[in-house]
Parts: sequence; C-alpha cells; structure tokens
Amino acid sequence: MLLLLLGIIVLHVAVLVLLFVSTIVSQWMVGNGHATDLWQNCTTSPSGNVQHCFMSSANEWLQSVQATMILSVIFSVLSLFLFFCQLFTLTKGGRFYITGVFQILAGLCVMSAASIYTVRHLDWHYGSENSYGFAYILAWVAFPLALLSGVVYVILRKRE
Amino acid sequence: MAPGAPSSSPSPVLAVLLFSSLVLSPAQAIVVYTDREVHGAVGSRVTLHCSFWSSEWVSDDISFTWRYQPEGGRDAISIFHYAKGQPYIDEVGTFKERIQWVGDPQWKDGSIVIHNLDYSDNGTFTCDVKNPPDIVGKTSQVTLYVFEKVPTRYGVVLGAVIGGVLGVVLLGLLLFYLIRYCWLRRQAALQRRLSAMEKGKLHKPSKDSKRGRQTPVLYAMLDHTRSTKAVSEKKAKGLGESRKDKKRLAGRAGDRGSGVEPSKGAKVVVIEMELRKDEQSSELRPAVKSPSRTSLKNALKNMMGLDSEK
Repeated sequence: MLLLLLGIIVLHVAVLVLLFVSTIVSQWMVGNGHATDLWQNCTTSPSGNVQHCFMSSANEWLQSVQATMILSVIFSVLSLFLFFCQLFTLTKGGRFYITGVFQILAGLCVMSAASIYTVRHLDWHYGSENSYGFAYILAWVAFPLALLSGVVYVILRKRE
Repeated sequence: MAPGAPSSSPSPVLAVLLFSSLVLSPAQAIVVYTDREVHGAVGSRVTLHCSFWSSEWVSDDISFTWRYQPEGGRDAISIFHYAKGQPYIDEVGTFKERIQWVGDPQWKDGSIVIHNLDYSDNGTFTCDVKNPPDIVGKTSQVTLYVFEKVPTRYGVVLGAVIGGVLGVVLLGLLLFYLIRYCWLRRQAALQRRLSAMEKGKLHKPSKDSKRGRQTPVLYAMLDHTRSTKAVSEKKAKGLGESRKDKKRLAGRAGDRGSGVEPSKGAKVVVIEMELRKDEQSSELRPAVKSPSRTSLKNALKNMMGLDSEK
C-alpha cells in the first residue's frame, strides 16, 4: 500500500516537473541559433555566446497556448494539494474523484496546448528550418502521464 | 475590441509612479502623467489621458496645453489649450472640430478626446500643465498609433482563457456539490419515511411483550449518548459523515427486509433507526427540550404503536 502511494506521488510529481519544464524552458522550437518558447524568442549569435531574447509575439493562438499550459500547471498543483487533503479526510473505501478530475483536466489542458502549438506555430514562426525542441516533446509526454495518474486516482480506493 | 474603446497602458503603473513620487521626491515641482502609448482604430475615437501631481492646491490660473508632433515631423504644434476655466480648441489645423475637452481641473485631469481618427494622426502628443505658482516640471508624452484594426493587447487572450476555464471549473464543481447535496437530502428523507412506515407495520403485533419493551429503551439510552456527540460532530464533519450514516441506515433497512422472523434483534435495530431520525430533526431546532427525554418518549411511543408521523 505504501509502495503504491509512493508510486502515485512520484508519478504526480514527475508530471508536475514535466509541465513546469515544458512551460518555462526555451526549447519549444530550435534551429540554427534560434530557440523559442512560449514566452520569448532567443537568438544566439554565431560568433560568441551573446544571446538576444525578445518577447514573443502577442498572437492570440500563442496566448492561448500559454494560457492552457499555465492552466495545466495550476490544475496539477491543485490536484496534488487535493490528494493530500483527501488522503487524510476521505472515508475508508472512498475514491479520489476530485483529485483525479483535476489531474485529468491538467492532462487535457496540456494536450490542447501542445496541439494548438502544433497546428498554429507557423502563425508566429516564419522560418522553415526550425524543428521542435525538447520542451515541446516533454509537453506531449506529460499529457499521457497526467491522464494516467488521473485515471489511477479515480480507480484507486482509499485504505487505512 | 470595440472601436469606441481605445486601449491604453495600465493605470496601476501610473498609480505606482504617483505614489513613489509622492513619497520619494520632496522637491516642489509639478509632475505630469500620461499613458505611454495609445492605440486606436481608423474612424474611432481615442482618449488621451493626462493627470498631474502638484505640491500646490489647484489654482484658478491652472492651464493645460496639448501639443502634437506628427510622426517624422520636427515641429510640435499646439492643438489645445485650457486656461482660466476656458478650453481653447484648434480650429484651423488637422484636428479641426475633432478634439473634445473631457478633463476637469478639480480632479487634476486634463484629458482630451480625439474623434474620427485617421492614419495621419500618428504621432506624439505632449501634455503640459502649469499650476501657478507651481510651474517647474517636465511634460509628458503619449504616442498615438492608428490601426485599421486594433491588435489584441498582450495578455488579454491569456487572461480570458485562464479566467474562463477556472471559472467554468469552479462553477461546475459548485453545481456538482449542490446537486449531490440536494439529492442526498431527498434520499435520506425518503429513506426515513420508508423506515417509519415499515416500522408501524412491524410493531403492532409485538407491543404486548414486556421484554421487548425494555431492551429497546436501554438501547435507546445507549444510542443517545452516541448521538448527542454525533450532533456536534456532524456540523464539523459535514457531508461525509451524514453520508456514512445514511449508508448504514440503508444497510439496516435491507437487513430488516430480509430477516423475516420478528426476533428481538430486529426490534432493536428499528428503534435505533428511529432515534437517528429524531437526532436529525433535533438538529434543526434549538436544544430547548432535553433531547434524551424526547428520544425516549419517541421510542416508547413507537413501541406502543402510536404513529408519530404527521
């Protein structure tokens, strides 16, 4: 039982870390000296280590990607918090419904963020030589993991 | 964004600036505040805000001046002047009949509105305030950009999406709990009525038995000590506890239904349920009467087959 509990918490924290990293790290799009994320647009000069960063565009779709990423982080944090609350207050045999629902919501949010980015990133990136960076991949990895941990929460019954 | 509502940079920044200047600069000088940038759509109107802070009272000789410097132009021309309580508006230049005075010196406000914007209005507007004897101070500039369609400001969609989704989730959660609460209450009421009805049927034949009368009373007392505690606890614990009770209740009802023989045990269970009902109704009214007496009375009443239900 304790092992299961630990496993769930580790999974949840892993999802949270993935979400944070993919939201913050500037590696959604990489290509010859460019590295962009949801917030800024950085260029490393070919000669030195000078890095110029500009704020990313105010494109509506980019803003909705930002919003859904933030929402997924919020939901996941909330879910972790609710899990600890429910761990101590839930009656024996009860299920972690609210925790699970919030975690699934986080998963759906990160999914919509990644899909919007996939479809719409050409609206604000004009270069064709860019490829997806690791933060983008982490966002896609976080989606099934969040969904999985949400489902586990819903299925799980509490034992003393 | 509606064409009538031009966007402007956030005013909290101004408030912070005002505060810091109030606290930090003891020098006696007039400080003028405007937005840094204003966006407007072609054909719409835009408000150019101008306010100031002065160490002096607002005098009658206060004057506001707006100057306009076209984009790429060198010279600034005066387009508006307010002095001695009278606004003077440009009547020959490019802003002819397009400027409206909306300020109020009493509120330290020197704002103007420019109607019917055109691309040629792009440029810098300077607000200058003189509040004699406080005349030393810098002017403040605001740059006007005219667009065909005002672009969405950064953060509007972001905030809207986050706020919207969080609001919907919160509302859904609230609705869910409300519906569940109502449903549970209805179920409990139904269950209570059902059990009361069945009890009436079950107890009539056994009312002459003497032992059968005594044991339940004992149980009632025992149960009551538990239930008075439960009443106070219930308020703190809320829904979860009551649900547990109801589950137990339901379970008992099922037990009794299957047990055909009218044994002593079955009777005891019935009394316990009746008590629980009493406890729930006593929750609603203030504890004026001794609850133990009423519950005992109810138990006895039920034993004798009096229907306590209205």
